[in-house]
Order: sequence, then C-alpha cells, then structure tokens
Amino acid sequence: MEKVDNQWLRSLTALNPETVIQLASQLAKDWKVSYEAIPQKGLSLLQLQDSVFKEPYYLGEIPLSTAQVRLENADGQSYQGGVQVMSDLPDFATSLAICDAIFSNELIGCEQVAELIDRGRAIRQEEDRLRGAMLAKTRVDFSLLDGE
Amino acid sequence: MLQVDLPLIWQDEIQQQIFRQLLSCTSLPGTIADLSIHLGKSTALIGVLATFLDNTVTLHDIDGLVRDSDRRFLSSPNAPLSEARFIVADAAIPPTPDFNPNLGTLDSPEFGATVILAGQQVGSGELNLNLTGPGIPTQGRKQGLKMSLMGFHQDWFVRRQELVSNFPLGIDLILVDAVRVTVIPRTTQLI
Repeated sequence: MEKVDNQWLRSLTALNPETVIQLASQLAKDWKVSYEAIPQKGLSLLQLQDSVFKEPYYLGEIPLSTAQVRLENADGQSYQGGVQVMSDLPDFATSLAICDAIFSNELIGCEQVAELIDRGRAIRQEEDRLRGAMLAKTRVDFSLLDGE
Repeated sequence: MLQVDLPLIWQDEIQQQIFRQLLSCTSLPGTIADLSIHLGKSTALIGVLATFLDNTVTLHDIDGLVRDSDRRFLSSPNAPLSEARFIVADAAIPPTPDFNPNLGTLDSPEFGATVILAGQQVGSGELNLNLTGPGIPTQGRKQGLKMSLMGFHQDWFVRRQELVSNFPLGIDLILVDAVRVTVIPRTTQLI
C-alpha cells in the first residue's frame, strides 16, 4: 500500500463528504470511539503575508473544524487521529479524524481508506491540471518588448 | 450514523444548563445547586470549569486538581496565580501567605479572579458561615443566611475578607463538593 503522507487529507476532502462519513461510520463500528478534545466548528481568520511589504493581513474568514479522536478496542489498545479541515459540515472532521487514526496506524480498514484517498487524489490531479492550464493561458510573453 | 462518546459536561446543552444554575447561585448567594444530573462521571469542579472556561480564559490550578485529560478538553491556557482569571484550589489546604490573585482594577473590576474551592461537603459540616448582602433575604434573620461546609479551611474566608475589602476590587468564590456548588460573590459579607 502506497502512503501519500501529507496529501491524504487534501485527497479525502476532494470527495463528497457523505462518502467519507459513511466509510468512517462503518469502520468505527469495530471500535469504541471517543473524543480526545472538544470538536470545534466555526469560522477562523485566514492570515496571509502581502508580497510587497511582507506584512501580515487577514484575507477573510474561512470555515474551520477540528476533531481529535481515540479508537479503542476490547483489548485496551488505543490509537489516535486528528484533523483540522476547512469545512463546517457536521461529522466531517470527526470522520476524517477516524480515517486518520485507521490509515496512519494501518488498522483494519486502512485499505478502504487508501482506496478513497486514491479516488480523491485523482480528482485533485484533474483539478490541478485544469488550474495549471488556466494559469498557463494567463502567462504574458514580454520577450518581444526586448527587441524594440 | 457516526457514534462518538463525548461526556455530558462537554456538551453545549449541558453546559448551558449548568450555567443557568450557576447564574442563579451567583444572583442569590448561599443558594446551593445540585449538579449531579448534569455531571455523568465528572465532578462539580470540572462541570463548573467546563462551563466557564475555553481557550481564551486562563486557569491556575494550585493543587493539581484538574486531570490532564480534562485540561485537554478545557484547552484553557495556564497562567501565574496573579494573572489567572480562574483559580482552582483544594479547600482543605489553607491559602499560602503569597496568595495574591488578580483583584481587577477600578476601571475593570470584572478582571478580579474567580477562585473555585473544592471541599468535602457544601451544605453541611463543621464550618458555619453567615452571609449577608445583595440577593440574600434577611427577613426574620439577625445573623444573615447560614451556610455550613465540610473540608473547607477557615483561612480561605479570612483571606477572602482581606481581598474584597477594597470593593469593587476583589475575588469571587465558587465552592464545590463532588456534585454541589454555591457562589459567594464579592458583594457578599461574611459575618
């Protein structure tokens, strides 16, 4: 199984959230799932740095959810997962956190999570290709100006 | 359907119900609220903290009464005693001579600390306090409203008198046992 490291969350968020929630619900049935911190859902200010003066500014508000979960089995073994995601859909962050715990610890069901990641990655790659093509069309060639 | 355990006291609806009870206790000092139906396996101390604290409200836990797992849920930053908005202490241990919490300022007396004392029993015990002041009915009582406590060191109330002597500066006290809570705001006099 191929690991995708930091891209797994970007890939899963490319999918319909309901697909992820359904898989997490199914996988969670084999575990006692509890929160490790209060799941949060709301708006957050996104801070960026302007490219001229290199000073921070707030671009605007983004929806943000966080969830940190613990999966525990009958033998007392426990595994943790957590996410911060730009979404305010109920249960989505929790579902992603469950997927994180299962995928990063290679627990039963990690193949199903990996399959979803592959599907999401394909969607993201297509998005990136389209955006790349759009960006290429905006490129301006100033080379003719040099000749004058 | 996603099933994830979240203890009662960390749920919004329960915190709102506890807040309502604490508001009532603060308005009517000496009133004792039983929080047991809201607490599940938690204590009144954690129930009160869960209701009042978040990641913007600082906490100083003098005697380490709050477990790490609860601290994670509270996500409240630590602060030194003199700066913390909320202070938690074991009521059986008397305050140290350097117990100097934030009393607020004349411009902003609301920044005075809230001190939560965790003792054995609220409502019965060997220590008797007589409360007078706003929100306390005095009709027919010469000595104010009597409140009994167990496992609360008397020095806490001596020190509290010193700290509220320059009203409106001062501290507010919340007294808890395992499941009950009462509030002694700075407007209350102990006689």
